[in-house]
Parts: sequence; structure tokens; C-alpha cells
Amino acid sequence: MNSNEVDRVALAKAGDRGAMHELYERNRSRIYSLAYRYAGNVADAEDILQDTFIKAFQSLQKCQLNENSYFATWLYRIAVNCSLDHFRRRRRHKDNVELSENLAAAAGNEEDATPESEYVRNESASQVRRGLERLTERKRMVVVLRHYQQLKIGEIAETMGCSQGSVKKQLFRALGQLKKELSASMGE
Amino acid sequence: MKCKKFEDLIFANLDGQLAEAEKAGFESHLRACPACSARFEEIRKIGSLVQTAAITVPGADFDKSWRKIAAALSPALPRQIFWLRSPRWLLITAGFLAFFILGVAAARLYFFSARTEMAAPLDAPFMYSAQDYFAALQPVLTEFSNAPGQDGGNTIGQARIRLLLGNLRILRLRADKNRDSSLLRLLDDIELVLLEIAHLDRSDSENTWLIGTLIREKGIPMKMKVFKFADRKTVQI
Repeated sequence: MNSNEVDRVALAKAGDRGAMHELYERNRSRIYSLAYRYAGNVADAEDILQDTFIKAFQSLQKCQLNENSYFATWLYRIAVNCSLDHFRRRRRHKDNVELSENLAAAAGNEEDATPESEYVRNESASQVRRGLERLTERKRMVVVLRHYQQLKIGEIAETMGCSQGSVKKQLFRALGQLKKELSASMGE
Repeated sequence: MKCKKFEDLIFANLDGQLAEAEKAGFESHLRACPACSARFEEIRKIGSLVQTAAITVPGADFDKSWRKIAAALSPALPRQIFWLRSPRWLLITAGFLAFFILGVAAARLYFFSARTEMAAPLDAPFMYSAQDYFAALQPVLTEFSNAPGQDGGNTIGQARIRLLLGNLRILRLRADKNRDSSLLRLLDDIELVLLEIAHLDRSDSENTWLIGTLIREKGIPMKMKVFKFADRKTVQI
């Protein structure tokens, strides 16, 4: 972590609102992108973004950072937990159908005014997204981190607080499940 | 190279993270073993298919989000300053607090023996304090935390989980009334775990293991100890 970031974090710990805002500005796009790719809609992604920063700033005192650790990595871990919690609560309190509709709608938005070949590609993309929606929260998160956020297995393990073996196991299972669902929906 | 080792290296190979010797071993096994070759191709194919479904991230109203974050982080500052500025209100507050503390102490003395008798949480339809509740919850958490990879959920009945969930909601109402935000956060985490247990798919032992992971992630046993130590919520109703 560079000295500027160390300073900003120290100031934010002391309650400096300007430093907090700067940390927010620097990290918001990355966190929002993870949240959107996981949630599939703007409203949930914004909720997750807000929850992440509120939790981060409230627990900043517990955050022990030095030259070898990064605020962004620590924040990313919080974002992953917030995303998982958001959907665990939602899954229990609301209907799952609504979630599937979100991602299907996100897929539909990208189909506007595309040539036929693009339409076919987008059709299979929608099926992948529907398949993703049917995975458990953790499996979906592993796939999103690996394939959309381009994290390596070791980075995913660090972010999710589990072993590399566990990440690989969940990834194999998730991809296997996706393959089955895609084969079924494509009639292979 | 054995098939198990090959499987272990699939993602490292896709990331280009293998050393020369490992890469040579990996490729030689890939040519020699049709099953692993098919598995590798399947993982690669489904991976790239998933990648093609990447959603373009639309813009967000970051300023609005910041305003909400800032509002959530702000204490009710003007009101605090007003109360601190006014000596009359300070005296009234101090008087009220002293009266309240004495009242609670007297109530605890009066009800102490009765409370001890009532602390039979698993048989009682209602748990009277956060401490009693935590005492009833503890065996459930221990069962799931200490049995990785086993189906520990078999010995925890659904009726007990429903009872814990029902009582949790009552405790939450009380914590909400007392504006005890740290207890509310802890109760939220506990509810999350209990809901996971209530909806547990017992056919897969990994799910039980995941609940143990969730309990550890949230640090629930440690937070409960802190509450017990602080002895914060033992008021009778």
C-alpha cells in the first residue's frame, strides 16, 4: 500500500470525512462492478455498494493495514460478504423468481438492435445468466470472481476466506452444474 | 502425473501459472489420459461460455450512494450538542439515568431467584433475556461449528430452530426499542444462520460445513461472549 493510501486510511480512522470520500471515490467502481455482476441489477448493486462502505468505515478501527496489505483487498472482502448476505436475506424473505427475472432483464437489455448472429450469442448468454442464478450464493460468487472479475484461485480464496482447494471444488461443481443446465436448455 | 494432481493444476494451467516442468507433466498427462483430456476441455469450454455472458456494467448514481453512506455514518450531532449545551437538560438526563439504574438494580435483586428458576430455555416457550437466549442457541452453534464435513444438522430439530427464530424476533423488537444497534446487528447475523439451518438441504454434507463457515465468518460465538460479559440485557419482562 502506498504512503498516500496509508495516510488516507489513517485520516479516515480518525473520522476525517474528506479522506473517507476519497477512499470511496477510488474504490467505488470496482466494488460496484462486482456487485452488479453478482446481483444483475442496479438497485441491488447500489445497496451492496452502500452496505460495503458503511460496514468498512464503521469497522475501520479493526483494519490493520501496512505496506504489504491493501485497503482495496480488505474492502473487496467486505463487498463479497455484503453481496452474499444481501442475497441470503433476500432468498429467505422474497421469491427467487424475482432474482431470475433481474438477470434475464439484464440480458435482454443487451439484445437491442443486434444482428442475428449477435442475437444467437446473446441468447446463450441469457441462458448462462439464468444458470448462474440457480447456483448457491457462494458458488455464484466464485464464478463471478473468477470469470467476470478475473481473479486467480489464490485471490478468490483470500477474498472469500477459505482454502484454494475449497475454491477449486466449488468452481468445479458450479461449472458442472452450469454445463448440465445449459445442455438441458439447449436440448443437447 | 496422476489424475488427481492433474485436476489440481487445471486452473493454474489456464492462468498460465505453471512452471516449465509442471507444464510439461500436465501436457503429457493431457495427451495420455482421455478422461482428463475431456474434463479439461469441458472446463475450458464452459469457462469461455460463461465469460461470453459477461454483463456490461451500467452507470450508477455514485453521488446519491455517497450521500446515503455519509448519512448512515453521521451521528445525530445537532441534538447531541444541544443536550450538552443545556445544563438543565443535562441534570434531567443524569437524574433519569440514576433513577433508571437504581430501578433496574432493584428489579434484578427482587427477581434474581425467579430468573434462575426460569432459565430453562429449551423447555420454556419463551426465553426471557438475551442471556437465556444465547444459552439456548449455544448448543446449536457448537454442533454446526465443530462438525466440519458431517451432517450435524440431524440432531437439531426443526421445532427448536423455529422456537429460536420466534424468540429472536421478540428480542429484536426489544433491542429495536432500546436502540441497541450492536445487539440488533448480532441478532441479524444469528437470524441469517438460523434461516440457513432451517432451509438446510441435508442430503449434502457440504451445506452443513458451509453453515459452520458462516458462523465463524460472522464471529457469532465471540460476539455472544462479549454480550454475556457485558451483562447488558437481563431485564425481565
